[in-house]
Amino acid sequence: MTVYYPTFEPVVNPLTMVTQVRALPMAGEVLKRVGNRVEPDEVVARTLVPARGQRFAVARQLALAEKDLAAAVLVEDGADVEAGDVLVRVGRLRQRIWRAPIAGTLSRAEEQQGYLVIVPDSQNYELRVHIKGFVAAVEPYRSLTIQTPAALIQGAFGFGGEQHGVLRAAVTDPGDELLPEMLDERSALSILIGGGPIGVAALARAVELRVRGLILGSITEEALRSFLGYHGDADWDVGGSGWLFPPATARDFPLTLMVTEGLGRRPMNGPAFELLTSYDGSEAALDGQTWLHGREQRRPQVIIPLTRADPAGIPPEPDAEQLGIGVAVRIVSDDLLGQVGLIVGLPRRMQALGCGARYTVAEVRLTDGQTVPVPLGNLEALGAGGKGR
Amino acid sequence: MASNDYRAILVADCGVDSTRVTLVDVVEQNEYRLVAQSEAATTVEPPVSNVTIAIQKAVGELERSTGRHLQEEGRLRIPQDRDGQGVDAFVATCSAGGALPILVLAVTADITAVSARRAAEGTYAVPFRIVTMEEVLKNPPLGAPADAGGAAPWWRAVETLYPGGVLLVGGVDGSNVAPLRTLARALAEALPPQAARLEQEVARPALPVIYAGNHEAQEIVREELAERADLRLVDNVRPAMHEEALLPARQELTRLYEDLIQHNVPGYEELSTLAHSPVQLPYMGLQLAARFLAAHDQREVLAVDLGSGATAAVWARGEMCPRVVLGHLGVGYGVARVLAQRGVERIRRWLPFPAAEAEVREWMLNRALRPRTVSTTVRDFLLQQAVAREALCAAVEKLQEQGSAGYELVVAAGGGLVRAPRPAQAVMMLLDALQPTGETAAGIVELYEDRYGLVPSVGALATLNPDAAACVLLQDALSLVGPCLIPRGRVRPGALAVKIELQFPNQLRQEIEVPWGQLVIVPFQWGNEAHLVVRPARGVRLGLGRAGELLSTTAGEMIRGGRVGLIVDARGRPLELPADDGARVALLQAWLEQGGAYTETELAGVQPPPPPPAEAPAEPGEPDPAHP
Repeated sequence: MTVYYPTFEPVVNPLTMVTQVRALPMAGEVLKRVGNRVEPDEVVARTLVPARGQRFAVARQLALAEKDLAAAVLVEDGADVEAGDVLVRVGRLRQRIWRAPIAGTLSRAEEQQGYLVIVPDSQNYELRVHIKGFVAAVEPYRSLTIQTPAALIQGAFGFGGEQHGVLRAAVTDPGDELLPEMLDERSALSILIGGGPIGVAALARAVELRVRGLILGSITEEALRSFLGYHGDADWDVGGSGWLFPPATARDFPLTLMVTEGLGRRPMNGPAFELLTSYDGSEAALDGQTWLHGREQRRPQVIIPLTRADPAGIPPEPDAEQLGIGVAVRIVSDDLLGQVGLIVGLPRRMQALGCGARYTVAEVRLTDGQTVPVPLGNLEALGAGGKGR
Repeated sequence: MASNDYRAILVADCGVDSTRVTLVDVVEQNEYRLVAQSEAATTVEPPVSNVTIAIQKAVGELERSTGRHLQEEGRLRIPQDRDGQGVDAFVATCSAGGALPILVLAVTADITAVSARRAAEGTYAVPFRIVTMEEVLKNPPLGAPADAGGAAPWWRAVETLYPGGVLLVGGVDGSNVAPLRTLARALAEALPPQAARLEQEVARPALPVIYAGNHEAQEIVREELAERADLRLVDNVRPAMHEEALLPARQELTRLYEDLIQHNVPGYEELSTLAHSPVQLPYMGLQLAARFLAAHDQREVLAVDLGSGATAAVWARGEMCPRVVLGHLGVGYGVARVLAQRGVERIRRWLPFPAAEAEVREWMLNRALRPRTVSTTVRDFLLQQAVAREALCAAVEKLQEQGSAGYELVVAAGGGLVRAPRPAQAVMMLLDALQPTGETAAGIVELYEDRYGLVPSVGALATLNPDAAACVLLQDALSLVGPCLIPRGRVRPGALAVKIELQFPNQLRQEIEVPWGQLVIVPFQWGNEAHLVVRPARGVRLGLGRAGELLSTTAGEMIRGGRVGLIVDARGRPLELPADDGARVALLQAWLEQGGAYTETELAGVQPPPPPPAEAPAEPGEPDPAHP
């Protein structure tokens, strides 16, 4: 199932068919067949991934003219070398030598410019899955498509790669702040469900306890900035050289984080909290990567496989292009962020709001009974499926 | 079909946020006019991933509103038939792909690096990092530790720059070439070694490198980079110490943008095939409109376009037409970049309510997470408009570096300006950010709004039919917001600044006194004309006049009213905002009320958003909205 934004695909879906394509970076061996079951952390395909050649400025290091390097190299192009092997020898009485710093295959393609390149041996690459499911399709030598009935929740942003573990509710209310004392040894290797914000101390405690993932309603900019090591506003340069959010978080993190509402002090929205905590103790897969725009666009998500659910019981995918009367929605306007309701009207004419702006709106009846007009762009759809286990 | 046979023309403007489609047709007396317009969310992102789908949807809305059949089975009906169904031509602008990241590699931070930045900032290229020789020598690609601590080393940015490119500059023509050899060699070392046979499967295309430095060093740069990069040689951006030549580098950057970004917009090939002329970039339309107005009216023109993902500014006088395009800097997709480049304090200074730094940062970053959300409260709009002011400030500051001067006509385009709930709010954004001085012979600055978002499309329309473009620009695109008077000088706050007299053709007169330090809107509606006489107080000047010198329209000449009225901005130049938060908030509130942008009630009611109430469990038998 693709995850994308902004459309009206449900962001909290109690039961849907999750489809993930797992692809090798290069042609290799796919170990599974259509119909096979897969488990989290299972290797489903493997290949050899070539390493990038490392360039060494040998002529410069030996104070040699670039044009003289070729004559001094002792080993043929394409030969295998070991770390420590003498590859270059210059001079007779006072010899200068150059040893291979690493093992690999020697390339003399750049020796005229004074460089030698050593290409380390290709590395074994194992493709793993992080969810329990079934193989629905296989592209020979390249990829597998895994499917599973699952509950699915998308977040606003996150960071960190794919993790899997057992869901544990660390709070009892979606507005509770996740405090350090709420984390203990039982939190290790799990994916914790928090509520409202989290502070730097609790984040550090989670890292210390080797928590695999955190799902929160919100986080303050201050706490996030501190955890990421940002120094100032300049570090928030989203769109400068890419749309990764937060910027420059492509490095490995000790845990994966997903935030459902956004920055600040907000409780997690009720449907997401209820759905997550109802699966306390169940396995889940969490992916925090967030790209805001472009072909790599993606939002963080948590998938709770429901392999015992009857696929026939999965409700049809709702229309992601538009909203209809009766659709459950979540509001993302700053003043009503996180509130949920039902669409009870879709006026064709634009309406003026209190601020004076005119928009195409949906009339949304909130949980407190109040009906408010909300611009369509400020709504996210919630799933309509029943709970399955 | 000859261009003058194109009567009904469909114009599409595909932005990063929304796609607007405009139907232009010949109406009475063979005049081209806007007939209808509609809009749809841009569809370049998954799962739709086709820019033309939004156009189809928007055209569908046009069909409903006009009763014309413009499409058949999802394709445009071309040409128009005798019954007026269909259109004769289709043209488009497209900026939906966003901007192109560019790393600038320069010998020194001043002179050539500045010219390189200016070259990039005249296109949809974003110079996200400027690396100088000093940094290169401190962090050479070979032998440097993998993590240098603090900011990532510059060569790490080169490794991950895709799509993107490098702009290599340095030295005036004829100067020492050694620094360019060092830079080119360092860049070559930062690029991956020649691909081994197995790596070709995953190898990316060669990194584009535009060399726009010392002409004498071209051969050296070619030796170092030709086999490792996609090297493009252009004329020096700084051929002599006091001479700047940005056009060749800009043209190459534009070509690169089209190759790497534009042509990779999903559905772009289809869009190009449909269009009757090459798809244009929106800032070209802005520049064309500015130049045309400058020539047509014989006035100096400043045109600004503030959008979700980019901000552009153009100044035109005669043959001079410098422009600035700041990609990924805007009020939606570009909001985080405004925070990164301008800093939270600069944005906070425009807020007429108490707001902590954290609150402003979090609002901006939440908007960056959901760039297509729209403002729904006064507080939202005040925050958004503070961001807008800083984006405009950034563009205008850079335009001034290129020698822009005074202007008599301002064109405000882009959703960030024209979609404000009241035109007076757009006026305040413009006056605060641009701070026009009115230092021209006329002494008056006319403010125009591009209410229908047509100015960017004018460029595309002009490629097909220049007359149609001119007609639409003059008749439909530009809506006069109001003439603006800017008294300047040093007067005691509250003391009389100017006495204004409007003499209407029906002999009626209106007299207004404007105190120093205030902004006054004189009712003077669109469609009205009047002779203007302004008597400044001692110490106050208008236009190019001396202190106390009378300013008036000449005999037979009239000023025209606008949607807001006659705007008198006697707050002084430059605007001075108190350092004290309380005093500044009070002053900003007063100005916004004086300008008619917000009422006292609206400003008094601005509160931080309350936390959502805890949800009460549904009563038995009552439908639960969360679980229908």
